Amino acid sequence: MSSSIPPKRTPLYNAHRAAGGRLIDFAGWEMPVQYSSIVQEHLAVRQKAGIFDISHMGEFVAAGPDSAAFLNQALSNNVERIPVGNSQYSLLLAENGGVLDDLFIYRTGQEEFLLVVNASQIDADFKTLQQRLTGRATLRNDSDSIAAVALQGPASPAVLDAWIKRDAASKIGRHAIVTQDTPCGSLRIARTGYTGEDGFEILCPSTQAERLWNGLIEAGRPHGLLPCGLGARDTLRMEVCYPLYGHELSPETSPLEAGLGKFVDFEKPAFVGKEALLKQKNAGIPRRSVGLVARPGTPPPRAGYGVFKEGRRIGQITSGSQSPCLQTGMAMALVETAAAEPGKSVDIEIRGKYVPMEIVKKPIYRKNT
Amino acid sequence: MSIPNDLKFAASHEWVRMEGDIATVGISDHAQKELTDIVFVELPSAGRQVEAGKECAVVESVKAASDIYAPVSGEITASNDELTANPALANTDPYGKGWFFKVKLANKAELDKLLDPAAYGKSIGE
Repeated sequence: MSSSIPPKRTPLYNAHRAAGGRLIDFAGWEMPVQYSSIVQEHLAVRQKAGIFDISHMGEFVAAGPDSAAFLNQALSNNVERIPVGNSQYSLLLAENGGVLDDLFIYRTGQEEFLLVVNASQIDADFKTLQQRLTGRATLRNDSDSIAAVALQGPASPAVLDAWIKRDAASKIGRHAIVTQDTPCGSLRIARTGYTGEDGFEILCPSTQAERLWNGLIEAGRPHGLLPCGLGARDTLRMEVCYPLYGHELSPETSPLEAGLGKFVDFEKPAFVGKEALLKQKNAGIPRRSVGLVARPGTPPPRAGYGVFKEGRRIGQITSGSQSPCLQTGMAMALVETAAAEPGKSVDIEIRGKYVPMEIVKKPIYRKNT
Repeated sequence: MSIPNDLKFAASHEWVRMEGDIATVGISDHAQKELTDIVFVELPSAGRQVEAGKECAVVESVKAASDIYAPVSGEITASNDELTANPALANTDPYGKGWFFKVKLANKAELDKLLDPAAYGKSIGE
């Protein structure tokens, strides 16, 4: 007999049910995978706008005079390079250089940072970061009290302004975070996202989540905004080759293999994982994450399928699906470095047959091409 | 959910339409709604022997690949090339242009094991 842990629900659970969302288990959370259709929701974000419930993600606050020093030791990127009111992508590494999580850091004050981490890693990350705490720095887990919604797509600035009823979007630069008066009170709004489109991530107290969600749906209706589930979130990020923890990133993959070297600051005197990554950098990076595109009419590639070259296995697909924009199969794969050459063809084993795919320069999909 | 009266159904959501001893097979409206966004099908070729309850085709949505099971045993006499070229037909016209394949029935008694429209409707909570 196994005891089952009931799935966690975000404050938007009832809103998802009311909107006809199909709920699935995702990292222990009951989340909408789609409302209407993944393709429709995907195209809404590329052409107009969409909103996603991202309340399942974790939020930590690091503060204190030594908070920057603590984060620079604990994470791969350099937080000293983030101006107050801006943000940065970073990685939480193990000593062996493997990836424990990827995260976004918002500098909300000279000595205050907001960390947004993956839902599946909240408890593990908090424990790891607590163990790495040094000096006069504190770390707080606000994940349960903070909800968040991502508003994404070319119409998102217009939708945000319509909801706030004044010009707000133009005052938020790319990757910036501001505190803004809204119909849900004073909220943090960042111009960030996970779709490759312009857009915003809006944080709010859990108690305000439904009001925020319904307000944005209402304001977005004339702009063609659709509520979007995790299915579209996955195909959108795949088209622009954003990594997903548990797929492109894992304790067995280094950020150098994943192509995230620019988010690792080797200039810093020390950080967890530095020695192992330096060693790998000098010895040669054994594998690379590549983007792949299939020919029309071939079956979509899926995570776990083997990648072959002249009958020899050279790696495996880490994420794969049908690209709603290209209308062909697309994938990211971790392959031997020697084979990771854009323009070259590889074979994907699908149900016992080889299906050719081409290695492409990332991203898989570019706007207006 | 649309469930035509003249069809029989497998619990695994395939439908069967009989004409003489030829069974035309497709997937139900309920199944296509569950899958949504069907982007690829792999159908059995004419001449292949299929066995009731065994997988014989594949349907892929944006999200995942699913097996299609032969609702009856027999020899494949035709598969729907139009569906292979345009898999979305399984979404837009599941009981018409979205048919998958035709089987020459080996054992008529197998039809009695399939669900009538009312029983199928009940099985999907209608």
